[in-house]
Amino acid sequence: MSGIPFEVVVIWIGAICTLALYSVLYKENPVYRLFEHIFLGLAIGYGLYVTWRDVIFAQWWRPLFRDHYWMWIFALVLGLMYLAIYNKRLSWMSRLVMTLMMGLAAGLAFRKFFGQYVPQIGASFKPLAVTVNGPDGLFDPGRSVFASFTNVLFVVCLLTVMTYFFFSFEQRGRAVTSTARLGRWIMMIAFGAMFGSTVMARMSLFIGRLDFLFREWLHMIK
Amino acid sequence: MQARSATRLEQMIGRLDRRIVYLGLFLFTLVPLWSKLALPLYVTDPPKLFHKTVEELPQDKLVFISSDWDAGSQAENRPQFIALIRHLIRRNLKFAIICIAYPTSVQMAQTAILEAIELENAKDRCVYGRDWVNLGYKPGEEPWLRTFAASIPAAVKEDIEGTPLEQIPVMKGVRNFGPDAQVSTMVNVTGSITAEKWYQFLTPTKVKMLIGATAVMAPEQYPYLDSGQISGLLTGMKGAAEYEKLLGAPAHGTAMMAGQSFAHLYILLLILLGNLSLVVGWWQRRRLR
Repeated sequence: MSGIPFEVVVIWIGAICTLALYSVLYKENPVYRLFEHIFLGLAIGYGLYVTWRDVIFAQWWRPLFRDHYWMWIFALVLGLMYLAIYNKRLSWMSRLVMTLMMGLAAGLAFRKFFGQYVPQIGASFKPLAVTVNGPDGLFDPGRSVFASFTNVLFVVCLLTVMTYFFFSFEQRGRAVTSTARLGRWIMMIAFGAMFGSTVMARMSLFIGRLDFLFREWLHMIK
Repeated sequence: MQARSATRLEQMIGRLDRRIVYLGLFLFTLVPLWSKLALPLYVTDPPKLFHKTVEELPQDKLVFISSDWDAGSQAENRPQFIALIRHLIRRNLKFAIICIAYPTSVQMAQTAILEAIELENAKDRCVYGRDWVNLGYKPGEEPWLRTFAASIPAAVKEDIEGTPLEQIPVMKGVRNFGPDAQVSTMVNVTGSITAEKWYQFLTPTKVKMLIGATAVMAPEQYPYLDSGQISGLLTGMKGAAEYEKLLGAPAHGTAMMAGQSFAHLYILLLILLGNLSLVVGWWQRRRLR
């Protein structure tokens, strides 16, 4: 065993784990269950260790006890207040800290809206007729028509989908219901594209494992 | 008689053992990988924009990379990440790595960087501490992100080896994000929801943002590309292969796309077969009525 390089042992363990987990494709079996539990146990154990190393120790213990930032003691007090939920007499303390966190989350949600979505609202105001110049600097009719068509399509999609989600009054009348129906169809097309992309992602994961098994483990793919 | 045979076709397709479907997928994927049988790869606009943005980055500024992928998405994110590092090395751009989604990303990013350095034969051109640094895992919660976006040294004190930031040459004087600040770009190679966090906190700084996302996440990123909040996008393994093609450095992404293309063809074939059996059955029953 001492003659086998560590990397080879790692690759063999990886290959055995991969095959054990893929064995569920044939049928449910105890080997799959065993490796599933090993994986979960390892992930939780490693997660706990990293939480201690990178969060509790690095962000709280060390500033408090090494650098003597005594204000950090309040983090412990606030953290312990969460646990008061288990005591009927003291549960009001947990509500205090939860309220504090909800206030923080609400404030950050405003920031999120402005940082993340407001630029998109601005970007949705598109000109319907666009002129595009070619590489020679002259007007390019083909690209201009295509760019204009893209913008018109965008605005149609935006308006119809928004109509579908407009619930402030009952959707009546042919114009409104037809627009909403078109919006639903557009969403279906978008969901189809997203599903296709999901399939691509799942295939990539499978190919990644195949590549590992046949390139790194069996050396069948060069 | 015809109707009965059509029903039999439907039943045959419907009752096809899933293990045969899996076996077909296995063969359709493995054979092209093994025989290097690849379909042509066309480079789309989002990777072109990604490549162009990196190509135009100023060399006196730092590139931050939020490496938020782990074993679960490495098939897609790792080739993207390696291609990005190779591009940065070629352009002599200095970079810093940070991970906010998975603790395991730190080591995986480190290994991938070393592989990229080896592929570029750049051990003397890309030295740890002088040209790049790994700042490790930070729990990417909102209060921390807010501090980080406002002042990098206030949120990060040391690298993964425990060296204080002020003693790391590549981090000297690096304080903020933005067009006029020391960090010109944030690249998020991610298999998690971290991109939204970066939009939230970095959009106001007007720093350039680039995303390397898994294919599942990519459709949600297109509106950000359209609005100009990001300057380029890599979509899964395909994005990695396209980026490798733009770099003229085919590697894992390109090699694995052979399997990807044929796996898609196989799925299309199954969808066609399933629908064909239903349509034929419906047509036969209708004729009998």
